[in-house]
Amino acid sequence: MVHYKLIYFNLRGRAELARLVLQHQEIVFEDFRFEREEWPKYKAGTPFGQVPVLEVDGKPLAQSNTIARYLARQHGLAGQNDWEQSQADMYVDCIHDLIGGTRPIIYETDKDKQKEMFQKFLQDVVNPHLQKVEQQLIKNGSGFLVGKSITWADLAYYSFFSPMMERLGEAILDSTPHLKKLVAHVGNIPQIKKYVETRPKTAL
Amino acid sequence: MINKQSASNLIILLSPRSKTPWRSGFNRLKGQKAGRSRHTIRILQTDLHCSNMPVYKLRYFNNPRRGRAELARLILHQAGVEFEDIRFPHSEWPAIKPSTPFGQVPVLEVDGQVLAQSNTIARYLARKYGLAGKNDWEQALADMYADNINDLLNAAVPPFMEKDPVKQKEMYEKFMAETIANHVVLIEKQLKKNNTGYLVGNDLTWADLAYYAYFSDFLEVKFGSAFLKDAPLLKALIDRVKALPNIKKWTEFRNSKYPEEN
Repeated sequence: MVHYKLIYFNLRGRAELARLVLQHQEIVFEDFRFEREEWPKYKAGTPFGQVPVLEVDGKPLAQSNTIARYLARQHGLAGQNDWEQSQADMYVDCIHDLIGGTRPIIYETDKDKQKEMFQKFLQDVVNPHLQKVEQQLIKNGSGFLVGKSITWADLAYYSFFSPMMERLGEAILDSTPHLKKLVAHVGNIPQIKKYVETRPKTAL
Repeated sequence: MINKQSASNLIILLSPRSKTPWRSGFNRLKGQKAGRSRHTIRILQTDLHCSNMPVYKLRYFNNPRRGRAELARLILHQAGVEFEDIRFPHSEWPAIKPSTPFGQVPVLEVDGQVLAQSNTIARYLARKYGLAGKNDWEQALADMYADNINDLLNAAVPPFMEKDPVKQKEMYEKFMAETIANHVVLIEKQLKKNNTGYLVGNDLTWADLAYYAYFSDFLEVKFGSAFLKDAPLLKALIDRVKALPNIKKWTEFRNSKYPEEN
């Protein structure tokens, strides 16, 4: 039995996708979380001064998407063939870009400016992307982003849009009913539902 | 040119000097006994675009000349794989944009099916052509290094976009002294630990190509090699990649055909 230790802040953040992959496949792992003040203690031990880091039998792997992809591939959530795996990679890269787009907004200290930045981000970046993804979902026809069954790509979209829906209301996905249905479907998967209900409640 | 890919397209026929040499040759392939006459070996190279070779079209802007498409180009050239290297002017973008999956380029068409996202494209090609790592763990390590480069590419955007030349100079100096210098120290440590001259395992992967593209093709060209003075292993790696015959051939051709504007 491989021993997994996932090391990150006590946040959802960049580790949540890996956690969702492990939870969905019901893989036992050590969900190691530390508070922000403790970061200097752990930073030097990471390969590139960043977290999350996944230790696989003690061997470190860095970079959030690499970690989640490795786990997805090891545990059957990556796609059924090379092409599907690449399709899934593509969607996760899109979410990675969206997460990157939220960074300047999160760090903005002026609350009014922050609100304005967020509205612009929703209008100029998120909504056009949602329309494209809706088209791809309709084209794929299975209800899932890739192939005929769930992949880590679906978990990535759930991970990004579910908290957003909680904050801003479910109506933000009303113009993309297929994506809205997918996010709801993932949220209702028993092991995901149970994990979300019991995970630490954190701002990010 | 015969390379690993086209080798699979070679058909070796043993044919007696008869009136129907090909039939005898095919009979030999089917396992029938050889005829008594002397045989000559003929090597046929099939059309490289026969059924087992996909048709690749890589689409990107014509400027930047390298940008987010260059890693895929380096992988394809290193692997000796033919592809259509499509570069379109920005004026054509409004017409092309709606046909892309997410309104972005680069995109890679593989026999008409479309893949988006630069690192996904690069990873797909690397895995297909033996440049991704020899097992799941090595593939993950290569992914990790490619993600590092993606972060560094993103980190270079704010100084790049700064319009005020004085502020831009300051931002680039900070970027080199902090972001780049810190990463160089850490990557030198990893190279020392791996101890093969490559980032992953004991052979070239797309991770090495990604580090070459960023540290040599971008930073060394822009800022000179001073930032590598305390990183002999990283310097050796990028020099090794630079000297690979297929990479050398491509970069020489590219630098004359598509010179960078800045």
